[in-house]
Amino acid sequence: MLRDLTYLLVYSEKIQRFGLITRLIIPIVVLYLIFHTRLYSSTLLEEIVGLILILIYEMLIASWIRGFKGVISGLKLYLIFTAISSVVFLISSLFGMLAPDPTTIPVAALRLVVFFIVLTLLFQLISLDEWRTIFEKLGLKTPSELYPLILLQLPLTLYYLSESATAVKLKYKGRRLHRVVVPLILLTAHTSRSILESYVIYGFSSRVKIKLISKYDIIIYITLTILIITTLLLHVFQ
Amino acid sequence: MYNYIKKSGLFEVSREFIVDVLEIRDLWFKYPVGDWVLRGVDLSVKRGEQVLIIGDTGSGKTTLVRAITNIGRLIYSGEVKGSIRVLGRDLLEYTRSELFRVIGVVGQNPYLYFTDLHVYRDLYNYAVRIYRDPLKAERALRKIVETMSLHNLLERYFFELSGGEAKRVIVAKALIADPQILLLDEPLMWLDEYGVKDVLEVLRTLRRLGKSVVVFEHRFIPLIDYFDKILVLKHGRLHEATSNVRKLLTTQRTMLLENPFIKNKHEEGEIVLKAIGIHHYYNSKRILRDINITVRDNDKILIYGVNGSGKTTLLKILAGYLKPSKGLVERRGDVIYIPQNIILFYTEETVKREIEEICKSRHMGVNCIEEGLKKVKLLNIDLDISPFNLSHGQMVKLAIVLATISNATIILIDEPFSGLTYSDRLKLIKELLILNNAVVLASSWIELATIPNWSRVLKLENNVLMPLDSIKSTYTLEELAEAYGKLTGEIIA
Repeated sequence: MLRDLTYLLVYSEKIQRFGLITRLIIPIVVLYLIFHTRLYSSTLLEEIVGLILILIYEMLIASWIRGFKGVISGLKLYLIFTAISSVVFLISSLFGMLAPDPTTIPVAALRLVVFFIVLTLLFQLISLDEWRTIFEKLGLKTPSELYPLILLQLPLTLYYLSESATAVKLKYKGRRLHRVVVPLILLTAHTSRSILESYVIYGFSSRVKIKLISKYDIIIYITLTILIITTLLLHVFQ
Repeated sequence: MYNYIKKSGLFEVSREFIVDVLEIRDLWFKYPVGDWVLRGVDLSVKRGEQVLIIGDTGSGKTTLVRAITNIGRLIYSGEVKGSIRVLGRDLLEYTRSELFRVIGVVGQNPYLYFTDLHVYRDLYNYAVRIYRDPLKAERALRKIVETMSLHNLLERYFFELSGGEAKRVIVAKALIADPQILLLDEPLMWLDEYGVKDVLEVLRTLRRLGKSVVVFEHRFIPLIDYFDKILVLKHGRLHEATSNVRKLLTTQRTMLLENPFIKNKHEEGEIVLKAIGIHHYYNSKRILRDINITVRDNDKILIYGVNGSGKTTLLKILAGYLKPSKGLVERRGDVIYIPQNIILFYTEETVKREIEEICKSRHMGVNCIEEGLKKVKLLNIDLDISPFNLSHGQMVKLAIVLATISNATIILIDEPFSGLTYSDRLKLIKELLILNNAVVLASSWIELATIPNWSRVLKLENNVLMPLDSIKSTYTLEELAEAYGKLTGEIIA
């Protein structure tokens, strides 16, 4: 599951045919629509329909990049956590704890999933060079170097997490599982100097050409417009 | 005057005539904390010469790489004495970018040397950085891809590459700048026999290209025929060993041991683990097919397989951490899993706490703790030290002690030998073979199969687990360890 999740956090070469501006606009618009649906829906049903529309759009984009099966496999871990927390909320009232209205829980879970996918889209749509360029243009020189270095280590860290979880779970017979973070932190510290060595030796190129717009962008704008109109129309025809 | 020569290009021309491309005289190096690691290293590498430097873990091989590249001073704030001349010029006269155009470096862990996730993009961006022109970069890259046969790796993410493939890509990356000298730090680490062949192919290519190469490695036997000069790094100094190595390992042969394990097959003891008809898929790709294995309480089983053959997946299924796509695993008793990256096994601040926590979590009381403390003392490990500060070999040994005191019925070990010398490997194997627990060890190192004491040796190939009936190996592990011991022992009287 962790390995599948990795692929949702790395950019795809396939999507590079679209311009950077368009690829940035996708998550921004989707994020706006998530908040818009949350703030302006007058009924629960209206919000659910709005969120489902957004989810379909996100899944279309993500499936085009990774394939439907790949996206579902990548989301498995997140969906398990979302499902567990939803069940905990649902049954908490049975134990006399303060609990939210049970009808809102599935919507909250859906909202979480939609929000998570849009965040993964940010990783999948923007390459490391582009992140660097964006940070540099914003005048953030240090983050422009640090952020790509962190993203580079993310896939390896997730793999190590799986190894560490296996070892620690069996070592303590399922107890003290929270300690898996200790070796991960130490391993990161251990490798950070090697990463710095690599950075000193190979560095980043500052002459990479970024494609801002592309003729293929029109496809994205058409589909985004359809999503915006249908989501906004929901409020008109409520 | 120097600037004039440099600008006029005379410097470039004169560099071509320099015989010693790397010249080190009386080099001393120490980190801010601790004693001198290098204590008067002398080394000269000629144009096109291939040099092998061998030495124990912690002997200072990586430190020497750091000193030659000035990384030791830049990143580790180390203190340096002595002189290093690269292409006839003092190391300190080079700017950072100039230096890494004449010296290429390939570190132990190739995965840390990528500056982009995508292989092609990583190489291309570096080429653009060097040549400052996309067209020239493209041309240089095409040449390197051709030379190193990287075509089928370019469209992959770096974390999808096997250890051998990643090493090949990073060597290619280092070659983009067309450096005169190439430093390879433990190029065989993590590699199976195919990965080793890849590295040998790389070395042949580098010789063809006329590059000077310095390789730092302690698993050196497969490489010895490729080097003009072999040196041993011991007590902070380099010692000539070319003729010694050749003398010690003259019996170049390929052993074919037919059915070497039959005499050791035990069908006795209680069954502690039984896997029946295991199939496993990942993203519709088959990883394991109809795996059947029975482990008895005193079995010592070696599972041999090349990198990526599914050994780790199989161990995780046997451990009960992964659910197989099809099939059944029955376990009677506890399992401990020791991962390849041994750091990931440890969770506590001190060795003592490791012992206490494993005993506590298994409700085993004071006796367990006392036994653990006693066993760790026998290993000469300080109880108050952090387990993360131990050497790789000590970490593996401590993990085995923790597994034995925890009353684990089965110990599953994934490739524990990376970074260990031949002698250390042999010692570790001998310790494993006398344990009372059942041990299942997965490794890509064929020489392990030359040890005759395994209950069974199995081979994981084409997703199927089968008995290994014969092995092809040039030397036995015993011979390798003996030769290594003699070599490093004989140098220093």
